[in-house]
Amino acid sequence: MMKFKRKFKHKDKNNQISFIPDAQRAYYRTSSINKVAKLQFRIGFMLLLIPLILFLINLLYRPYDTTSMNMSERFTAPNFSHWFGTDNYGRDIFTRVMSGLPLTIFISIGINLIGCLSGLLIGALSGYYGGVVDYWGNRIGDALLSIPAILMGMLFVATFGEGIWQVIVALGIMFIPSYMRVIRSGFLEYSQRNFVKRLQLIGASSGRIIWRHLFPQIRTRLMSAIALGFANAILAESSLSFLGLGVPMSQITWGRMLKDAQGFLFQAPWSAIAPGLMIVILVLGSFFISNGLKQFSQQRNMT
Amino acid sequence: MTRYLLKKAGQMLITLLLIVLIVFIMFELIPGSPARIMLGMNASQEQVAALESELGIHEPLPLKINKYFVGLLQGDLGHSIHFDKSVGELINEAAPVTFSLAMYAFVLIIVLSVPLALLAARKQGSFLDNSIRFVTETTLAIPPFFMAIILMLIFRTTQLGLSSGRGNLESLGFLRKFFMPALAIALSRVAMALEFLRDAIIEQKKLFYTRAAVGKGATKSRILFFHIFRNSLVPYVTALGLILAEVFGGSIIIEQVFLLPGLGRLLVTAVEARDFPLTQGIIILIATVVIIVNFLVDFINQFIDPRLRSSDMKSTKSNFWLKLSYKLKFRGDVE
Repeated sequence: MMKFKRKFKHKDKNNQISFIPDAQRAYYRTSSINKVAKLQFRIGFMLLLIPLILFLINLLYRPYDTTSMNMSERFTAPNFSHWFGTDNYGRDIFTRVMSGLPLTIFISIGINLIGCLSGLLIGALSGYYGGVVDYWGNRIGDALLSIPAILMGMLFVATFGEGIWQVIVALGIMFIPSYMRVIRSGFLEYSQRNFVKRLQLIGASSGRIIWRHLFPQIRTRLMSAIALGFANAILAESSLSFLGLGVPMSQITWGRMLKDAQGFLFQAPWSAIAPGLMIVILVLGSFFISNGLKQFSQQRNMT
Repeated sequence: MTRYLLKKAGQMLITLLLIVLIVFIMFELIPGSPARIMLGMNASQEQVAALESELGIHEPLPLKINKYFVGLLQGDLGHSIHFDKSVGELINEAAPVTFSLAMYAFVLIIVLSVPLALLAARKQGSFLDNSIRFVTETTLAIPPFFMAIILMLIFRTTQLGLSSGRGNLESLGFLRKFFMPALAIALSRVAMALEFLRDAIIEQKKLFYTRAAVGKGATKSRILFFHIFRNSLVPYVTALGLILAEVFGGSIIIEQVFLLPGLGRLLVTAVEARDFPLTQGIIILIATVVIIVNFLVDFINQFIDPRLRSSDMKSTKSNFWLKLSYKLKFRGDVE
């Protein structure tokens, strides 16, 4: 009887008794999660291959010029010479979609770089030390999270005028609290563990504990957060361009292409679908990769 | 309970103050003369000087902040230069459209996510569960404006049959007219709400009391609705509070697609014309609504789950919130 109890009841770190219904079933559940996670990871990777190939093609060869107009070929439906058709000025949409890709990726990487690095610094400090940094970090985070990201972007554009750097800085600031919270909760979870206490006892410095011991624990979930942040950055940037704010007129962005396409939606639906589909592919790919990573990290926590 | 709510109210006030400060400081950071930017390059020196003195640009910073806060408390948001009207008046005209659109989308999110989550949570990892999650994940990846364009192409219409301004909101026809924009916002946010409810239900199903209820001989539907569902509501309602900011963000874009005369249109005009008082006013209004709703969420949670009322439960709950925080799509933890 004692054996039975020991097998099915155990105490977690909050000293609460938790119940595992059936060890065998728990094992199967883990393995099925593993399968789904792997599948999601693969789908995400395959989806991201499409923009990657387009990016490489764009570097090497552009079939048409992105700006030159050709009025005789207005609103051509997709065919072999124009894969995605042409828009109201007779410009090839395939070329335009392709050439909008580097800017989109550059902006979202910039946004995530700002968000991730600042979030890592603030999140690590507030998660490890707690106290004043934690309290005010959370308050400022709350304040930023209750403004929709697009509004902050618009506020920046209203203040500093249109431009790529304005978009990157504004959205980058809006992404700090989300990163901060993911990292903070990870640090909170691990900083009470015994191995940290032991390290403190043998006199390891705080910087060493944070960087060498705690950071590797949250690496997987940080990677998952970065993949998600990449997707969210693309969504936010394209929303801003769709509103006609943010990235200046001279640059090709998918959001602005969609905005232009809205004017002749029923004449040339392909001109709206092509850039929209590209956004969806890129975002969905990142979502799936993020989900896969998240499930891997959760599974690691379970065992 | 009162103490907890007072603490939360204090935090809410601090957050509100911070938002006003952030928005106000942005105004101070404008390179060059704000009055010159607002009036455009053609304005004469006298006009600029007049506007500068009206805005009090050369006053010391603490005095300006004080003046702005006192104005806000009295409900005075300033004067819009572009429209030559008071900001309060402009917002008063446009806000009902945005708020009703956001409410409509919010209701649609709840209506769509609750049954889907109940279905998905029936068996974790089943085909139904995976396919529901796959579809909603896909709609999450579609930005609201592209969703709106797809809906327009499907229904073959861009016309909502709108009369101008508030007239739309007074009859039941509103529900039909605003269906497309609200659906476009809701579809792209359903996945977030659904994920929460599903995870919470699965979490609750594993707990002891569910087994006890089964052993007691309670029917399946009774266990689901009276035991599990009520316990799963707390994280769900918290998540809904956080989704609200996204819904507002979505409705600002969607208004631009369907040309609705709401806050979003007003805001885009204000940003393009660099009308700072109007921009500030709208952003502060939306942020305030989001914060107050999130405070109400805390309040509602106390009624859904009486255990939250006693403060000593919070420490044992912390592990639960921590787990939840990671599930909350990137939006961080909930205290």
